[in-house]
Amino acid sequence: MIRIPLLIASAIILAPGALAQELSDADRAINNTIAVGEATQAPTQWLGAVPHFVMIGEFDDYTFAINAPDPEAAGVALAGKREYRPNGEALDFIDFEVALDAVIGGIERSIEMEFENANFAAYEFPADFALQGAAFPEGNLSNLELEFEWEWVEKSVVVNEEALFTDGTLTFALNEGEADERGLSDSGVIGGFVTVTRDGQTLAISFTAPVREAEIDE
Amino acid sequence: MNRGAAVTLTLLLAAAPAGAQAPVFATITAVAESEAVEADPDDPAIWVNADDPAQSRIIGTDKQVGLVVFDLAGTAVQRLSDGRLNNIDLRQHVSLGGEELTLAAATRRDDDTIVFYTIDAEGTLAPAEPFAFPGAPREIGDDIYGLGLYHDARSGRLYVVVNFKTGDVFQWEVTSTDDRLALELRREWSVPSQPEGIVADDALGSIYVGEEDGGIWRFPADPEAEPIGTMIDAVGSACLPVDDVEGMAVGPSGGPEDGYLVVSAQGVNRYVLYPRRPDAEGRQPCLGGVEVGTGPTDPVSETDGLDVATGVVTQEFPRGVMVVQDDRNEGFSRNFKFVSWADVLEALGLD
Repeated sequence: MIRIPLLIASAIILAPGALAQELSDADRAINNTIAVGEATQAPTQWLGAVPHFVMIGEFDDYTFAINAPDPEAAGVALAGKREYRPNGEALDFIDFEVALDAVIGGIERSIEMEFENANFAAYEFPADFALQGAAFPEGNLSNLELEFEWEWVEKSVVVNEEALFTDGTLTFALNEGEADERGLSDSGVIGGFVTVTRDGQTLAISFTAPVREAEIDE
Repeated sequence: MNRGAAVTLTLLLAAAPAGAQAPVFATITAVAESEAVEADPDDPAIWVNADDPAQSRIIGTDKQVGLVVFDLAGTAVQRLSDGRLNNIDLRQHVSLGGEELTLAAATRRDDDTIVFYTIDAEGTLAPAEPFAFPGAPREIGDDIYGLGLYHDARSGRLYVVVNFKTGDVFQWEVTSTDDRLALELRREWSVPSQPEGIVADDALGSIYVGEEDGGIWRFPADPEAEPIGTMIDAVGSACLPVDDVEGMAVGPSGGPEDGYLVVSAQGVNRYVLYPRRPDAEGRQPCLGGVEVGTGPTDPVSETDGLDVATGVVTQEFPRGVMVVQDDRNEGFSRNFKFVSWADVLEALGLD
């Protein structure tokens, strides 16, 4: 979003979406490149149980080059969340999220991944899930909703992107934490590896995130 | 009780009438902002201090916590930790049980209830008695969500209209006996998919329901009327190119039945305006929209709930204030932004 001086704003008639960013090439490079840490190759497998976040690839006009083998040292706040749905006296583990907040290129940016299944707790990890479009799918199926957003205040730029990835694979590698008698756990760690393809672009993501929160979807 | 169903919805959305102006889009700036809330703000309501507009109050939901009340400088002056309150609305000076009251109502997702507060002459909230009522007459399969109050300008009756994530909508009449509130179900209907925003146009007798992925529905507010919906704009249009349709408010301008319906188009971080009064064919063509960019405050992103009050006339807000939720601030925090209603109208070339 480019700031338009108020006095002339009323005279400007634009097509929908035309208020989107009109940045210089240099500013666009800053805005559209999300790079953390040393350059690295895209991961080809899960990188292990130590908390980390590595995301390499492209989506639309955005390039992701996040290499945070030690998130805290890289100034990356990483958090996982589990979501459950009651099933009789028990809880089905239907959803998990991994969220990242960090100042990247001088801009406070947030990235969030969310995965769904009818009950992830029904599997022994590591387990592979093919990505597809249905919500809370039965069997070895999941989906990935990726959201990233930020405001570049100095440039009056707002980025708020969401995408559902239906072509790819999730390896759910690690799910540890103390659980109550119904299976609810708001602690421990979640880890996995994702590769997705969309419009000829690819993203590869390896993560292990501390779980900070759990929610029951009544 | 009048019970409608989704099949009574009528899709009257049509191409813009011949000669209609293309929507105008512009960027404005906020005048001020609130303190950050603790968790996740959603929906504001504005209490107008008619004697001293500068002492008006902004009441905002904080979805994991309850309510926060702000003054016009954005300072929190009251906090109410009453649960997962999602949407809020208020009406001032309503007559219930022979008493004049100012009431606020909110949806509470913890137990799918509607909770009520009284507001005193200083804008301080207190729980009403009783405080909470079931939002539906039976078990609904998902959370209670949106809420709007309807104060029938002709009969003086007060209604609270709530929706659930399932699409179910319930219209309850609010009464009071011996200083105790009571609700009576008057009508129910549904929309095809998850709604949230609700606002009533008290003067024109309409209830608007925002179907997040669908569009904006207009229903007759009279509880005796068939709940036949008219979609005034659909997701995919010039003003709502992508979902979600979120908060809605009536923004008066001119006469008591003039002004605009203001709708939060979340996917494009924009507030879009429609005329309050439908044309002869029942259309309310979109007039345009504003985004809130960098100025005295940071921009507004992922727009959600909003409210407009033209009674809050101050030096900063010469024609009233529009208060909007802002999903993103420095330090990964969230708050409410205060926008001059005059700036919105001027930017779009509206009276």
